[in-house]
Amino acid sequence: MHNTALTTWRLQRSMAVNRFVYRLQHLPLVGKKVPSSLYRGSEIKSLFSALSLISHILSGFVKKAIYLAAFIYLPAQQAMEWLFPEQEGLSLTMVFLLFFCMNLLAGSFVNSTVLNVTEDKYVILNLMRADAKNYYLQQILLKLAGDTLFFLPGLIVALCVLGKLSLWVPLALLLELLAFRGIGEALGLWLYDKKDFNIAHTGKVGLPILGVSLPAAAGLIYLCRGIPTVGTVGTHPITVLVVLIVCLPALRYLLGFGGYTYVARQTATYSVVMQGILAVQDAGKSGSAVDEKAFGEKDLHSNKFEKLHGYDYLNALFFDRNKRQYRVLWRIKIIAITVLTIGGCVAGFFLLNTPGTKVSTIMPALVFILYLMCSGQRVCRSLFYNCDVCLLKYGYYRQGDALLQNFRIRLRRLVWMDMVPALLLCAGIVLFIFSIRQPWQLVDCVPMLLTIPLLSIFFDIYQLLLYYIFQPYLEAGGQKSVGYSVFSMLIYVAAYACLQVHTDSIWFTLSIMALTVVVIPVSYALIYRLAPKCFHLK
Amino acid sequence: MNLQIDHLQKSFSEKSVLKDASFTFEKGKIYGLLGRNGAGKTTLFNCISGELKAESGSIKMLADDMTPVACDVGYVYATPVLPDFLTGYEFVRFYLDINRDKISHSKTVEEYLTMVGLDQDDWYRLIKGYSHGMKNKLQMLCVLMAQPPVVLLDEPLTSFDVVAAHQMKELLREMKVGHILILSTHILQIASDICDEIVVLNDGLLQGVGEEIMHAPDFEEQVIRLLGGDADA
Repeated sequence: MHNTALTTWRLQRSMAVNRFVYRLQHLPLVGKKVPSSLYRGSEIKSLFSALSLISHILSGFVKKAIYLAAFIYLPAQQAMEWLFPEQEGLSLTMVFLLFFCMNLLAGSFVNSTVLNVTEDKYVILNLMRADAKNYYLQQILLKLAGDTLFFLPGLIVALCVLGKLSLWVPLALLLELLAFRGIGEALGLWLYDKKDFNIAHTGKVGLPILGVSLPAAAGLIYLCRGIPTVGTVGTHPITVLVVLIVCLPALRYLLGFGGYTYVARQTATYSVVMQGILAVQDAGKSGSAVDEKAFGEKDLHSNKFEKLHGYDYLNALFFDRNKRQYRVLWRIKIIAITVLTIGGCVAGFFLLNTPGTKVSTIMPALVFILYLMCSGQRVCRSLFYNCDVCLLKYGYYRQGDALLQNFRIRLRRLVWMDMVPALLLCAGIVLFIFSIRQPWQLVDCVPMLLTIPLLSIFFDIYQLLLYYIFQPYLEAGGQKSVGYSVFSMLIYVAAYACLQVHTDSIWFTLSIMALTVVVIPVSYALIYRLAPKCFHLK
Repeated sequence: MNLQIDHLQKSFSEKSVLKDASFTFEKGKIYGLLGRNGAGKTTLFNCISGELKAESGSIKMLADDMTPVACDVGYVYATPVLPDFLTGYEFVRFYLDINRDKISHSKTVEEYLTMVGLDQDDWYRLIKGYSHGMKNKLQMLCVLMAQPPVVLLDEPLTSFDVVAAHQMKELLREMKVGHILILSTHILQIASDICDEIVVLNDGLLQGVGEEIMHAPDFEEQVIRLLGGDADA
């Protein structure tokens, strides 16, 4: 086990350093100065290795500290302010319930050190033929040691120093955590072995569990707000002892399990690891690839787009085959606007029928709302990973005319996609005006109602323009473009800043209309001039 | 029309891949480009197709003394890159549409698909479900349809079954008239079987293999020596 641990350790350090050097080499401007000789064993590499180890340890502390602050301390403190404003420090019951839901249950049962897919597992177990049992047990041990090392200081600071609880509480919670982690590992392995159920593949189940755990904790806190004994019992030494005893059969199962090699063969092969990595990358790529099984012969052999040609034909097929990806978000927008309209109208009808309410003052806020509603970024990402990543390899696709044609067609489709929610928003505003029984405000709101569809078009053009000018997506997944990040941030800041503007001035509306009208021809000119040079694969 | 590569240099980081590569490829011939792994065959192809910019040197079409533009070069990748969301039929239809002005012979989509031996059952399946060989057939078909003056084929025949490989060889032989075909391969038999000339890329330099070597009984040993290997090993 000692040898396996040492080899794994060296390999992980080496991979971390190589990744670091690789990232350095890909930094803008300075990257080219970083020599590839750094990959060779050298003193600098040893230094990087030491730095990477230190950064790994420090980031371990920082991550756990941020986690404890965001999910344990701050929610507990907020709950204290709401439920017991006069009480100092934290309530033991609240802390225990939060920790119980978030860490002991959710954290322990949706993760598996053995079943999780990682690149180094493939290297160690398959390429280096390490003993699977030694490797997995050592990994579990390292995970538990890491939890102890990184959680303890944060727990002490959050609960004892800031929360004014006794020193025993973090110790008790930590011991229970270790026991639950052990039980979670054993259960995950048992489910895989006996029920052919891999909890590492249950993103659809695991994520909702993690998402539900905080509201569940909040609900339990509310229900148990008057019962201080919950926390006392939960962290009592006898309870801790019982949990540790319950963990013993789990540990016995982990130590005695004879199928680690089989598990390694099934879960750490090249194809599985690559699929895992690609799945993670796909998450970053947003639009996942087209599912072949989702289409029948009728869909694939139809005359639906027979009258279209060239890029019109290509894009029509692309949007048709990928419509499932967009439909969900589109429906959410429609439902949200409908619900808000109905809610606003009901509230307006009963509560806001005062003559002083000026509906046109919401225009600045609408800028930000329309920015959020824009599908541009999502569609561009999906266009890249499902279409352009292949066709950009071909010269004809990179020609100025082809790019401009594609831009025009895609813009038309994107605008149409976002126009329906924008028009629904306009209709909602009109209905709201009638609900507050002040139809004369419609005249004031005409510029705003015109601006809403224009703004929707503006954001679509802006996103598509950024995509064609900076093409930020990498073939292997991920994003890399300083210009794209800067201009995306600028539009976000500008849209957000509009929230702070309190005006119903016609000039605000007119300036946005002017901006939108100007940006359309400018974007066409920019695409034609810059895209053939800039729109390429990275 | 000749394709002239003149003192081409390209490096990645400190590694110099093409050091001073020069060669003139003539129209009407199939060239076999041989080189060891990492010798720079794909880099050379990427420079010719315009995907990579060389640091110095030039690539010219001698008839017009111009650098080849994208539509002058057809590139068949070793790993086919095709849009997964289209069916084979749709892709060929799309390709025909956008290259209509360059395609002289008026065949239908169905005729083209039949020409490369793609089964009718597969015409209306998503390319995503195609095998490597089927995808390669589609790539080759694009080249056969557009007939660009220069065709680069990166390991084109290795994914085909025996029958398909034979068909493809015949199609390439028919196509070579009026075109320059450069075929990169590791398989000497393919090179000697289909190519009119062999060019070796070794140590960043291009070097033609004489006709007498191509037909010599110790062809394999001589090529291995040219590639910097030990033929007796």
